[in-house]
Amino acid sequence: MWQEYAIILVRGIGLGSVYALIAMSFNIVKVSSGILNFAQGNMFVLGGMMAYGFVAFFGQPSLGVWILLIPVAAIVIAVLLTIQGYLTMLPLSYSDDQQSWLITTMAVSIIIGAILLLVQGPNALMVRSIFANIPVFGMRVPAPFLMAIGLALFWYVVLQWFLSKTLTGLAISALWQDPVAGRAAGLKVRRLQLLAFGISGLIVGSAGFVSAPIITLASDSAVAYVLNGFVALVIGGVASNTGALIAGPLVGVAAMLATFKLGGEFQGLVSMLILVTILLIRPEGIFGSTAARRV
Amino acid sequence: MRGYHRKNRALLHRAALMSAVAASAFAFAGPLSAQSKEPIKLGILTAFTGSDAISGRNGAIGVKMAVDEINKAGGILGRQLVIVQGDDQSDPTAAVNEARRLATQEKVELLFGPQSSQRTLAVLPVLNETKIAQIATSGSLDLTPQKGPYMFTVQSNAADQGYHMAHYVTDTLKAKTVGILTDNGAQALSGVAYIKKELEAGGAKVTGVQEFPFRSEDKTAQLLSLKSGNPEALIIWANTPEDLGVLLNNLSDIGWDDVPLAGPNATVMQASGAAKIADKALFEKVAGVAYRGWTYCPGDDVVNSPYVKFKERLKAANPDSYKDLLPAIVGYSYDGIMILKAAVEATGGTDPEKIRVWIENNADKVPTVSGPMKASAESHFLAGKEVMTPIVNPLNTNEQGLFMRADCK
Amino acid sequence: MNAKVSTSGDIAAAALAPSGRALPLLDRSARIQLVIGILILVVATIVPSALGQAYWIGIVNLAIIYVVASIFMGLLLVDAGQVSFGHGAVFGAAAYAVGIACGMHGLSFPVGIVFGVLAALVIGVLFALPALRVQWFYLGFVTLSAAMVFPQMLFAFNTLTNGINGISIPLPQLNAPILFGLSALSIMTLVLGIAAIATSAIFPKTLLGRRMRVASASPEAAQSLGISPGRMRFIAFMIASFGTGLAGVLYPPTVGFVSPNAFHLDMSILFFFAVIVGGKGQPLGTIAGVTLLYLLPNVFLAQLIEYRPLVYGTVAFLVMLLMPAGIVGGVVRWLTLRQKPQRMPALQFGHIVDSAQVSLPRPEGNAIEIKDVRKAFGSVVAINNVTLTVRRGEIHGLVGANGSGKTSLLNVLNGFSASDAGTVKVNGRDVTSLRAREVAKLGVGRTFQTPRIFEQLSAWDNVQIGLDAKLSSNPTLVSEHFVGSLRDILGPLRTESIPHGQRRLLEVIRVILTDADILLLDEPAAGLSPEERLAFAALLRDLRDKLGLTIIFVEHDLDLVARVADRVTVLESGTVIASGDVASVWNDPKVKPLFVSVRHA
Repeated sequence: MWQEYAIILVRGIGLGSVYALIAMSFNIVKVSSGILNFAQGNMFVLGGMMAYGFVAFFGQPSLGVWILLIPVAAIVIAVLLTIQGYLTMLPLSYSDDQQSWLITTMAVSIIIGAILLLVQGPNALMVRSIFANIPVFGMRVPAPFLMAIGLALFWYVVLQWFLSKTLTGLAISALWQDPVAGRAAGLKVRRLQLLAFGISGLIVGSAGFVSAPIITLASDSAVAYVLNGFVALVIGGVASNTGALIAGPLVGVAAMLATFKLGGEFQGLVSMLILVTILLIRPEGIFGSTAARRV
Repeated sequence: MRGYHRKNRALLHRAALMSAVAASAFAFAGPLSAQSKEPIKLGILTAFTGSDAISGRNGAIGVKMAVDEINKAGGILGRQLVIVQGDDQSDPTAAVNEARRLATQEKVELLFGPQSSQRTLAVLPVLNETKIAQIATSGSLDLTPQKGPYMFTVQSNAADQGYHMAHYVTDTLKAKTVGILTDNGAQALSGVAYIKKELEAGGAKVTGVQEFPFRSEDKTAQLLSLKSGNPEALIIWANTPEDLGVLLNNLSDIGWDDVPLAGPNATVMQASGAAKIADKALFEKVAGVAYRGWTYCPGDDVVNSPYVKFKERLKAANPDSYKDLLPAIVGYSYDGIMILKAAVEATGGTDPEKIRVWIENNADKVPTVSGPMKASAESHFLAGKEVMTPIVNPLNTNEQGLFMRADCK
Repeated sequence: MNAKVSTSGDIAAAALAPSGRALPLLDRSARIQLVIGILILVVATIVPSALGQAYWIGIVNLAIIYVVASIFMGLLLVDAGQVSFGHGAVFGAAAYAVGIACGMHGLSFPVGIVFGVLAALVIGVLFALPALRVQWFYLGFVTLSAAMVFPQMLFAFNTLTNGINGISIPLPQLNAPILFGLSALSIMTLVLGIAAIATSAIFPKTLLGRRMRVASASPEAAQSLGISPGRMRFIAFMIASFGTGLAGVLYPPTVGFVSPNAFHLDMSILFFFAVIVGGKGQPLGTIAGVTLLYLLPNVFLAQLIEYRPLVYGTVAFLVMLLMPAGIVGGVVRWLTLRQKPQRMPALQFGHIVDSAQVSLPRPEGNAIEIKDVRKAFGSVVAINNVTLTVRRGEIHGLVGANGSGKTSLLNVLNGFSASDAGTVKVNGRDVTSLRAREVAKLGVGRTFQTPRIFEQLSAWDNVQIGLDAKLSSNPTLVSEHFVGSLRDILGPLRTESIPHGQRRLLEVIRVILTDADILLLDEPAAGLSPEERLAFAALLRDLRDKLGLTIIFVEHDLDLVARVADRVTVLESGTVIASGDVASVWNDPKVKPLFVSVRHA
């Protein structure tokens, strides 16, 4: 019996790490510019599709090539996201209407989905892992589950270091505290924000590539990742990567446990209930800081 | 990567070319080809976008193939067929709007689609009023001749598929305890009730029922929960290849790959896709439900099977995209148009009332590729219980790509 | 001028219409848009019916229904500031209720309408509950997940809803022509469409509309005007659900069928997009939005099939890129930008209080008694056992360095933050546990460090909300002539043209107009020129002497304080270090060293 729970825990944490990665990629953009990028889900799917593309063209890569391809995928998606970020922030600089990003990021998500539908049709792409399944507690777990956990930890450490130890990272953090003061202090705000978009691309690009064999790569699968990433973001607390790292796996495990004990039809309902409960009890999230009074 | 893009660019080009051809056909077909005889407008109303786009697009390809063959052979009653497309977006509201457009603006005389029951039921009032003979590919038992007098469907319904799945488990496998796992789609969920009923009739006990969201990444939790009931066999209703593949992988991961599985028609169609991520060996215990035309038993004349010939023509017509197609859906959609064609020819026009009576009495006389089809005044399901049959190991096809029936001696 | 809506505002406004010229209800842009919008709806409804084109009749009806639903979602978004990504669920609930009532149980359509609107209101309540707690896109995501669950619920309760097979609703009598070739359905749709557009144009100009906008722009300011932001949100959800419900009940007769898949997420997103892409807060906006995002890809370009979603996304993206205020918003902005820049004449402070007004005898008793009040934020003690008394008819200055607790004290006083210990009395009444809007209703008015002048409201409406909050039906104490001329000045002015120096003053005027007899002013003179400060000091004295008001003001300008204050309290680190008449405090040895720092703060 305990093996079943153990395996659910491992897989739940693995899948949840994907949500955590998406939440972290939300975070850095949100911190720098206040924008919640709805297109992040499709960018993540694109990262996974690159894994499919490599296999389709080169065949199954060797371990060395595969490792080298991770940064390639990450950089490609980072470039795409930087371009998207530039376009998204374009109207913000000349209009006092500061909410156009709500539509433009959703529209970009729709456009990517539409292009995927045109280019590759409604079928999902399927990627086979180059790694053998790993025995855990008498059962087996596909390697990408464990690698997603590793990648989430990797990006967590990198982000924490970057945001608290480097000047650029500190400047990005400062934007979250007070964007006006940041501008006044002579920070190149737009450039920092674009950098944040790029970094978010590195995160989802690498995440999509590594977890390609266990995620759904289709023109319409992005919404689910945006939603789960957002749930992890809110539960962990906006702007808190520690929160995201913990909340993502929490969501993953909770959904799987709900399925196991209650039935698969409650999987979606359970994550929604967790989201609503957290928002009602502690709107700032587990690791979020209370917003200051506005008077 | 480059290859991937090149292939897709080619696909795009072809798509653009095809729509250009369709457009020019639409513009010139009348005066050019049919020598003073007006072309017959055939509407295609399926999902080209949205969640049902896969079957929608495959259905449309079947229709186009049938129309090409009919037109090359001189049309129907000397009249060429012209296709007018409408996208129902997998959305009933859009389906009704497009049905109105096709019926009242484009004035189509025949209609193919929609392929999902909730959209077919939605458009029936429009099409009943405008009186258009229609071939749908929907499987709801609500589609009675009273609701849609001019509508026939070539899709096997959930009850008939459920019947074969349940009886395969109780009669062939002789299982006494069964677990049921479905996706959360409408067709699968509505099938559960019929499956349970037939299992009970066959003396088997249901130890657990679970469901998973479409295209979810992992089904381990569902399988572990079913496994705790310790059933002798599983009935698994998955509609997409990735769901089937993930399921088989998950079963193997938790060390439960010795349990026999029975799936619906979709399992047969999706097995080759699922094999992209699941090992072939995992399919050995998998059974599915197929149209008789797709099946064989050792000793049959497989070379002259109409379905095999059809697949060859399909491949010739779509050399690039053939591997992404579902010949099964293309096939029964093709059959639907051929039945419609026979009815128009026999009745001398597109009068829906005459077509209805003719199809109710004569559908079985039309040569079809999916298997012998038949309708009656009581049922407009052309692919009834008798047309379907269980098959074993959907990957283990013969040279011609036919599936082996479960009841072979 | 829309005075009809409020009884108290009505009397007040009637009492002070000196220059006669009332402001028109709608500004020019809204009037023109309203006329164009109604024309479009009428023509679009009549032409297909006259030509007997069933397809176009259906398309137009559906498009108008979507316009109505978007308008009410827009009301929620623009007037009440509530983000709902799940409005399709409200719409779908109404449609389904009609389906169940008429299609499954054979009830008549009017009965179906009642059920439909009720169902929409129920979903509206479900959406409003989280809105009391969470805001902005958090609320968006909650409603979004609700919209995703909605079709699943329709399927789950299949005994009630007929599940996946949906419900046919044959209502042929509604589709039969009855008048000039129009069917009852087309007429109902047209009437609803016109009503919705008129609502979207007029609502912001109503008392409720103004209050909603204030609550949305600044919940604090709303509370200080006696408005409950929570109640405003709830009412907004109810109005939006009611309107969307009316649109939803017309869906079944238009389409003839309801099924779960018709009401998935895409519909909610379409409503949201239509509002923003068309132009937030523009009466014509949703018509433009629905035309571009629904009709263009789905009807005009229906032949494009696979390219349709691409058109949809690209149109939305490009519009927002080129016109962040939406299509209609962009056009309106372009037209107003071509107008001459506006200049607001400086207000004459001296005229606010009627010069003919005679000085009142100073009233007796204490206006405010603060006793041992303590307030801590975490480990930071903002107010440390403050005891302070302010007499009626007194001008009381609060001075101290930044962070010394001045604003925190005002916040405790007017109920924005609850004190941890101690008592606060206003006019002898204990208000320690009252909420801000309850304190406001006792006659405590308040201005803010950053002036709360809202661009969501017209220039005059920014003052009008003070009259809206008037506590009694007595004629206003402010000079009628001044109010009349202020209305003449602000009427044609765009809010963004009000200079920052004048904004504080408008806020002060707004508070006086509420009849508050205790004013809490947070740095009211910041940004005023030395001459204006002199006039302002005179105004404060007039308010005290002629209107009998009690004034507590936070100020860094010690000269100003010395000039007008009867008494002064000096705060340092949350503690009162001196309190009394100006001269004695100024000479207090504890205070003197602070002056240097205060003066330069």
